[in-house]
Amino acid sequence: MSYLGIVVTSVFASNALLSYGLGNVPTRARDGEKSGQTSTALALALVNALASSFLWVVHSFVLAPLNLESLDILFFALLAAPLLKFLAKAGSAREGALSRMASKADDLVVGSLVFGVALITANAGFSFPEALAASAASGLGYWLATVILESIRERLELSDLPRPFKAAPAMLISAGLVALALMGIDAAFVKGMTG
Amino acid sequence: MSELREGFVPNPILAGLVGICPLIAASRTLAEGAVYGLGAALIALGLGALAPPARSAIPERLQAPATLALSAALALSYAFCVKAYSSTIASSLWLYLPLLAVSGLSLSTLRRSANLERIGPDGRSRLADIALEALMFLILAAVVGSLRELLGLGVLTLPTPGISPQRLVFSDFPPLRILVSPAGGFILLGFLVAAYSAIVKPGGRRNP
Amino acid sequence: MPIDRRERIIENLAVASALGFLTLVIAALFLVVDARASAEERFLLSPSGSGLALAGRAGDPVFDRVYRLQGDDGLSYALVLQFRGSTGAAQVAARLSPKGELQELRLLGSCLSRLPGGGKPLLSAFPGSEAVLARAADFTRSLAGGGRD
Repeated sequence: MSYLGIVVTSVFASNALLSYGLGNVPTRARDGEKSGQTSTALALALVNALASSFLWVVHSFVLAPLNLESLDILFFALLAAPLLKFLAKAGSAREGALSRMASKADDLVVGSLVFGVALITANAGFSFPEALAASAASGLGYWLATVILESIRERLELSDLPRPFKAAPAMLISAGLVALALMGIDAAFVKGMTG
Repeated sequence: MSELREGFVPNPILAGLVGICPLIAASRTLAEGAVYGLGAALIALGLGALAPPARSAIPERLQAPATLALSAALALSYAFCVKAYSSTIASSLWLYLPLLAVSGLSLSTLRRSANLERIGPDGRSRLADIALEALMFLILAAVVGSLRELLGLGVLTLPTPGISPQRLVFSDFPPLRILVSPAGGFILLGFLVAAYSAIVKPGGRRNP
Repeated sequence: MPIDRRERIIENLAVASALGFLTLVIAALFLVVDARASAEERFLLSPSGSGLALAGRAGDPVFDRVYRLQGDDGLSYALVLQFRGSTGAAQVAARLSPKGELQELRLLGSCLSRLPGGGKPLLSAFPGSEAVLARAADFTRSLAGGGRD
């Protein structure tokens, strides 16, 4: 598949949140934070790209020759997560956009999204550039899904829903409907469009 | 009804939606849901028992990576046990078994273990709280998996050992196939949480 | 070296050693499980022929161990394919000739999927299975040394 196909598949057909269930569906408003900010998108893409590239290297050059591929999550937890946390904290000490991005990245490092995307790309048989593109695109796909769901949530808050359906149930059902829409974009469709 | 109100134990997972998204993706069948839920429960119990003594022995600056590595080790050990039990179920849960290391339940247990006191402010043992949450997660995962499979495909795959899990067939055609996809999982869980909210008032008491 | 710094280094080494020991324990557990999985694969592939011997490890996401065996029609290669997709997971035994031609496809076990009926191919439930079979054929040809019988 071409790089464009990999990116489109990672963002839509294999969306990290709506296809793989990684990360969290936004069920509550977060004070002072909007997921639509550019720093959030960049943080997601960068953290996923760094984490996946690190795990790809360990997986390909250390674990695979020793037939120990199944241990990748342990090496990730031992090596990649502390390294990424350290980089995120170092970035948070700076000022400006980098600091905002780094503090968001710090929250993301230990979570199912980063770990899951790293595992998926390491085990998918990608080359290094393909893994980098797929992981960054997965981060952006997660960001896109949360932006859509946040905007749905804001509208649902203004709607007169029955009490049992307020907040989380309505959000989960909305997430399901958005996932249903994305199911129409499967790998065969992407390959046909992008080559 | 009043006696029911006293004895009713709410499900903290449905109340707080801890670790819900991977649960939706992983629990497509009864077998997958039961195995995934059992793994999350066992790992949470293991962390609840092992993390506090580990924290008391390790310097604070090294506690985070060490406890995360402990969680990953427990998750991998469970994944290997599942692979030995049934390679097909392990294969269908390929991504989600290692991810039990960073599931919502594991991370919330690790956060709770930062407090080394054995008894919480409400007088209950912290390990008992973790055990209750773990049990509720297991029940929820099994229920979600069985509902999705039964209503989606009309079959129930039992978590039996071996390469071919036993299957109970209730319908010749899939009634609502969409339910076994992630989209259907989100929708089903939304209705389950709504039903829970309709039955349980905030504070854990059953609605009259 | 100041005492504080020395103590920090000793603490770091102690924790690193403990985590390294934990890694070794997990790796040992993995090797035990891997050996058991290999034995299970040999048992499952035995109906395809006799004299099963490990020919190579592909490290592919879908198949790992490839075995050489003696079937009714001469030397061939057998492997277990682990398919995963939105329709579920299935384990399939495949037997290939030294030239990479598919000779046999046998379902071993499945979870979730309603496998295709009505005469459709077994693997049509798993997109990308053609590419997997092509990779298996390539690997088999490389093991056979360019396709010699």
